[in-house]
Amino acid sequence: MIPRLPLDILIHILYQLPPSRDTDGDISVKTIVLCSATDSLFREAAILPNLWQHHYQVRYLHANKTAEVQRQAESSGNWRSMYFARGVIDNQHARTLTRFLFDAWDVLEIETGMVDCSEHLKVLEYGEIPSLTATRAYWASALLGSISQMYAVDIWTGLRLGSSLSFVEAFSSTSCFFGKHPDEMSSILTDLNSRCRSHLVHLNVPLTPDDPEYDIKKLCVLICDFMTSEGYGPATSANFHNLSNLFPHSYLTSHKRTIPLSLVHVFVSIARSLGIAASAVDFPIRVICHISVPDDPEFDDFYVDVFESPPQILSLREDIPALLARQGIVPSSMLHHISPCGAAPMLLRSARNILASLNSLHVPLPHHLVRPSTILAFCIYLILPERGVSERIVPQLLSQAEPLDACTFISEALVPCLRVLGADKMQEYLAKGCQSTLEAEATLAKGVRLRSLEDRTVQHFVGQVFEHKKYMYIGLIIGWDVSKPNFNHFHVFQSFFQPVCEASEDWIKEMKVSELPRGKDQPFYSVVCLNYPPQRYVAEDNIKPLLAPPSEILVQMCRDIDILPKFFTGVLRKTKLSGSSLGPIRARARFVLSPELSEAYPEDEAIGDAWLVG
Amino acid sequence: MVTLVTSDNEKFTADKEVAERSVLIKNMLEDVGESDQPIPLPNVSSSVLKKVLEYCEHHRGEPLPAADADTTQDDTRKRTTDISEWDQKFITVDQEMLFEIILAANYLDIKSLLDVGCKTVANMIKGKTPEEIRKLFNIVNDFTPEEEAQIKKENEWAEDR
Repeated sequence: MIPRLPLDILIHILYQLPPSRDTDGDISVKTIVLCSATDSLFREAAILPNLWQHHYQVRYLHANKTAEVQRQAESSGNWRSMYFARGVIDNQHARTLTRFLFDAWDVLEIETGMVDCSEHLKVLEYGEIPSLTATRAYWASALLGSISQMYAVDIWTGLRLGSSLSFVEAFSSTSCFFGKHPDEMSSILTDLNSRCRSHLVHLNVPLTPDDPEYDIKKLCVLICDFMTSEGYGPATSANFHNLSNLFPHSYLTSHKRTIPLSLVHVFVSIARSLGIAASAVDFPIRVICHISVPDDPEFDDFYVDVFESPPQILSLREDIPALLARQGIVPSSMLHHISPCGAAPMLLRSARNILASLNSLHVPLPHHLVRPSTILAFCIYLILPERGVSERIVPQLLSQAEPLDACTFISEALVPCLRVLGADKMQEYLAKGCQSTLEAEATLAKGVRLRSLEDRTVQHFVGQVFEHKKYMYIGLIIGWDVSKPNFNHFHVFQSFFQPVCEASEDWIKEMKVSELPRGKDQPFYSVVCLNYPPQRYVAEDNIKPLLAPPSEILVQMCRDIDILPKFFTGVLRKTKLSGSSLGPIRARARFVLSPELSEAYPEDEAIGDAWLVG
Repeated sequence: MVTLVTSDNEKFTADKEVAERSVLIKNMLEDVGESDQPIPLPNVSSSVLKKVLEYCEHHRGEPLPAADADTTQDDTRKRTTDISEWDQKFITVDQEMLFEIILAANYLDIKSLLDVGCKTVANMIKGKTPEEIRKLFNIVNDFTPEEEAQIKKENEWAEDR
């Protein structure tokens, strides 16, 4: 006979279900909720407000202040009622996230448009007060990015689950990782399609298969000609590996001389709009196009090599086997390489191209593309994995993710997507990683650094421009650590394609910290700079403040370090005339801390000002 | 040595140090002072007391939680569902015994044992349906249909999580 347990023990049992911000926490809460539906005694235990207080305070770290006050008033401070209210809101958000978010698009776009993008942070004279515009625009555009990334993850998940998403649409959405609204790509393509149609109509080319004059091969050649006249064509070999060649928003606008896959994307879009059954083919040498010839046993399907100049029509019976034979592919395994393929293999091919370009030494890496394209490539690998994908992808993805990514599209779209796809292990791994990213960020955000509390003097301040004594690059201080230098955190920026979790001791060794006059026993600074990687960690011994940073350097920093508005709102310069008016004008300068950074370093703003006038 | 008498009238002797892991027994001993009188434990059966003493024996010498520690506050800090290996093995008993041990730990006021028992039960009910939980706890649904409908409505948000 199972004995009945009294109320106080039931309460004690429910207290053992740990609160946390992950699936375990969700299970705890759900268990308590279900216990409340078993019998009246258990219900009494499960609705205890104190029990819910822990769960509420652990899970809900952020709130709209007014709404929170209202919630508290409505529930008379009952933590359970408050948790339930938030739970309902969570569900609403989760269900209509994408729709809600696209509704937010316009206001965010207006925010980002409020500053002239060519100006970024402004260089002002001492005494002027920088506005928050650039910083607000930074966050608004970061949110735009998250929203479109969620959309892309969402439709690719559908692709994996068997939805009939076209190659053109699926591929266009890679630009979502660069803050582009999906409609932007489709409108460029639609426009291109209709211009091609008018062009062909103008040439009196028959466009319907019923027309006795209809010649599908000729039509394909004419589409290629049209593309050439629009500026599309093969990239030069020197520029082949340029990252910009890979993404629709750039090859549809500024980088029209591009790689085969991109040209095929454009070609398929046009051809399909003209009723031609064109598909991409995952061909070994380069991506080509398959054209299916309907209802005519006399004619074989054929292929178009859009990259060749002039574009080539390839026959199924002769050209293709010959090309494959040259690659050492025997006819028996030919089918796989010549069948029209859907979006997934092309997305994967693009992911491989991205990694190849990132590792390519032939072309300079556009820094601002590195982070989003890495995240894009790894997302593709996670959502559309080729034969088992390594778990190492997760730390690599997270090493490039900003905390905002972790709390938006990674936890809200990518993790649920992996759950839907049944990739349990990967999902768990990613969710955990996300959580620790967010926890690290939360700790970082909570930490207020006061110089008076440190037992060591911190020489420099947040917002100071300096030169690295050894490597000579010019950088900008965005934070400092005294008691516990955080080598691990910044280590991830040091080695792009290496596992993140390498011991911090290795970094210390690698960077020869012990050879510095004060070794590792000194303040360390988090800095950003114009070189790659843009975020670094520097010992005080290596920092030489720049007394008069040339204004072109300041302007270049504002323009080229894309994360700068996250930390600063502007630059202040104080011009000092030297004794004789003929002498050189020296201007000290410092960056003005963003509200968040100034909360973390409350004294640095004043120290910066003192330095500016001093 | 201390002599304890169970509900089924069996006598157990234990070292004072071991028996005093029970705050109840400790207080009783302090109240009666130096005496050889056996202590009656009318709420604990011999089979359960045997297990409880085994637990106290293993953990003898470990520091006891402060008497006036606010239990719930204390819990928040170290609440985890982790149980040490020995405790895990110790608590691997049939469900009836598990509940008896929890009741005894509660009555005898042995906080660490109560925690181990409750943690084990908490782990058991994770992910279970209300019906499964009722079965586990030997309880019956005593809600009126109206109450049940009300509860179901209230809990709806948690369902699709």
